[in-house]
Amino acid sequence: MSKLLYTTSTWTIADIDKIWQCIQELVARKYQLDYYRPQFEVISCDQMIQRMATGGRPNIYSHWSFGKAYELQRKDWESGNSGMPYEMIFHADPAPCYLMEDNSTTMQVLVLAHAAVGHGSFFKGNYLMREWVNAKAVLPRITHAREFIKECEAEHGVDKVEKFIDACHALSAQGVDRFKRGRAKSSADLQDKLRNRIKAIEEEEESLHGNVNENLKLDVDSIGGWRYPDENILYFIEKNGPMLEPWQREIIRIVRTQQQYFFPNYQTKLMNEGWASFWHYTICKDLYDEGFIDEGAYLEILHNHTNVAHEHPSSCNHNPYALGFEIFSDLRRACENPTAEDYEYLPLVAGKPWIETLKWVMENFKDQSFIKEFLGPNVVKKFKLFAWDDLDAEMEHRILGVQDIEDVYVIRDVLSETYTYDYYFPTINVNYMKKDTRELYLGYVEKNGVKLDPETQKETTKHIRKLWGLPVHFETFHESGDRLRTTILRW
Amino acid sequence: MSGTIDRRYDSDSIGGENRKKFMDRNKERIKDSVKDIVDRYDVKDITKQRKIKLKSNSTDEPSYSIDRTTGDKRYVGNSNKRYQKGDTVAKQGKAPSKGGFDNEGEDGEHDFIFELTRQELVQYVFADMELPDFIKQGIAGDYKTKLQREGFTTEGIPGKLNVKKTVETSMARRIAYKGSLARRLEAAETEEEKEEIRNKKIPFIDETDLRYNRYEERKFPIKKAAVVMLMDVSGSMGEDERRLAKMFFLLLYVFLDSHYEAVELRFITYTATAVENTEEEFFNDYRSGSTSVLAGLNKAHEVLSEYDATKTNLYLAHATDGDLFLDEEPACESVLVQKILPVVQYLAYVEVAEGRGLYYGTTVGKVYKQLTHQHPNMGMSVATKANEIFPALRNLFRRK
Repeated sequence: MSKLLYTTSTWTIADIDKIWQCIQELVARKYQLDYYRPQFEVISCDQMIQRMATGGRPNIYSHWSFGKAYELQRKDWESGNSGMPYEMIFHADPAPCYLMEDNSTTMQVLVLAHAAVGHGSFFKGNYLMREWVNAKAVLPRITHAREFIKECEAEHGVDKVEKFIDACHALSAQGVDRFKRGRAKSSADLQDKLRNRIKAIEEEEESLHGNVNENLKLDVDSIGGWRYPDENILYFIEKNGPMLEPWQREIIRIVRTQQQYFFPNYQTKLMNEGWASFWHYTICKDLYDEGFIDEGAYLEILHNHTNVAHEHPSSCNHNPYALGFEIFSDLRRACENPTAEDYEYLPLVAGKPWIETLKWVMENFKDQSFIKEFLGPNVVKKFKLFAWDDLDAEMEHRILGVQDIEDVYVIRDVLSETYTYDYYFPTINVNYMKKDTRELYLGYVEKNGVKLDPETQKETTKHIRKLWGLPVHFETFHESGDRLRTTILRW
Repeated sequence: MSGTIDRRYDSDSIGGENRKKFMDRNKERIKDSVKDIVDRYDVKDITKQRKIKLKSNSTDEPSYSIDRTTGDKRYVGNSNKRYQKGDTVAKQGKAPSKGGFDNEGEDGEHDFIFELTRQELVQYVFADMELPDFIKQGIAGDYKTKLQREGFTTEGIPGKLNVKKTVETSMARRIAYKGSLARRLEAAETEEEKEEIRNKKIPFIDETDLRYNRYEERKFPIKKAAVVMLMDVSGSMGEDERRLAKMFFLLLYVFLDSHYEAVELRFITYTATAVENTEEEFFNDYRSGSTSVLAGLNKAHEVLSEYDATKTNLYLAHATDGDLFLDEEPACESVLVQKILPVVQYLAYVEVAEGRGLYYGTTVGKVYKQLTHQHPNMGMSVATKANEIFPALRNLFRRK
């Protein structure tokens, strides 16, 4: 009797349920992966574009930048520059998993294996994801954001709110905690002491000016002594901004918590896609071997897999699907059939049981450390990776390492540098705030002589000035600590 | 069960909101693009030109970014075929930003093109004219359809319930059921059964009896219209006046286009003589000379007579800056009253003049003004700006 789950390329929701049931059982039986329960949603192509434009958050507050992103995506797709992602799943519990109506049944099988199982298990297992994202709170937060901002628009006017959000967006990359900072509340007595101090200050204000300026909202945090430097500029402004009304503080909090949600994604893109690709490959092969899908379907899957996990030659932007998939596949091989090389270059996995070990890798590393530990000689050779430098003072590039086995460590070193949040989103610190004038001092350190683009620096700092309401000093430092230059925005 | 949700039919106001905000933000830029479209294209083609090109403005969404042409950097590339460790490669001028030796330079600023719907385009074109809402709807291009009664249906709302038909159907059901019960009574053997059958109640109205009136949408029957556009092209009509005239003609055309299946355009320009033109010539005719309105009106009448007024709805639109030979006055008046006004559905007159104050210090204006009292099928206005054009066409648009 045929075990085939389906026979045609058109599908109904009942088919999806049947396929999902089968995949769930297979995964539980063979691999025991743990993933967030997916909430499947059938959507049209246009709706997929909208989700791409809002980072998978169709219910987010409305803003023109999402409209622009939508138009750009649509134009890109219509002109054939980019294909539609066949899958998208959102990191939440339960996890909305989108099935495009135009996908064939076989493609939906891929979606279920890649997104629901692969990404779903990564979201649930990886340490960085768990540390920074409370999966149950994600969707309610988005709903709150949308409702709150709608209220603000009604009360304060669409224009005013929009301009405020513009400023917050400009700083969203610098609106995250980059490491766990213990912003925990101070102990009870300290809190009392601080509250008394605030009261004393307010009484002084009152006696001097006859009233306490409503906008001089003093916070326990701001009086207790801030821990500088603080890389979360939005947090600092939210708590200490002298000119902000409560609704504005809440909007800042909304924008920065949204960006914080994406913080682990940027640092694990390679692993996440590699992991999901590895599992869709493995699961689909199992489905074929066990007779659940036929040859035609399997071929379609392999074809799609090859297209997606394809490394473009001569590129320094490595396709995460290709590279990630190769690394995980290589790790499985090193587990099951280790060579002497593997014991030297992949000591953490060589010869160990592969399912357990791969899970352990997925759970405990991020892209940077993943590359450092697990980019093996086979992968380097397969992609013919090579490292080279581009030094300011030199007239030539120097090749630091090629696809030889001795150079694996160099290549790991160089490649892992580009998989950090810092690489794309420079760290701008709040260095201190002058207690008397409340002028803000920001700083950027030029590591290895890498400078900020001056045009965007100027424009973005203007937004900080707008939010802060008082003069802002932007200082640039050399690695050694010397101050190189300062820009002061007084207005 | 995973409880799959089908979202395809969800109303998507959310995507629409964001897009609208994006367009509002770029209103000025879009308006400029649209003005360009109006200038460049034929009246007939304007509503088809919906692609708007916007320059991507880099200060729109600023954020701190790293200048990758500076500092000491290291990269890993792939597909290495020829390099060995320790090799050196000469730098090519400015260091490439993303990495990659050959040619991958900075991406340039991208203009991006997005498309308006016909409704949106029409809104932008007429944005400065301050058209009332019902007109904006009327020219947005939705065919006005009539609902016509077409029999019955079994689904509907209480307001459409047809009581007579419902009761008729219920009667039929009751009769049939009664008959069926009678037969069962005959066939019954025990007293108990007979009692049971006798006590059976037949509902007066059942859900299956309900009948509602059914309506279908029907479009207007095919109608044709012809518009004659008459423009004064003596030297006094400059760039701005011509653009105003074009907007005027365009509004008329778009309105008629949404009400008739086929609208034909004829163009006449006049100075001392009147000539029929193609649209191209019409807007670019730079003859100059004295002005003979009479010649224009005669030519217009000539063109109008080519049509059968009973089969085609005729319209005349006249744009001028108002000069006239005094001795032409009576002749003009008689042409209008006897030959033109009787056959046209509507005559619209726009004086694109330099702030001459309200109404018709000019001679042409005076002539027309006198006629408005007896002839309701005409409209006039003086226009120096776009929002003054509408009054001339107001009567034409009056809700029927």
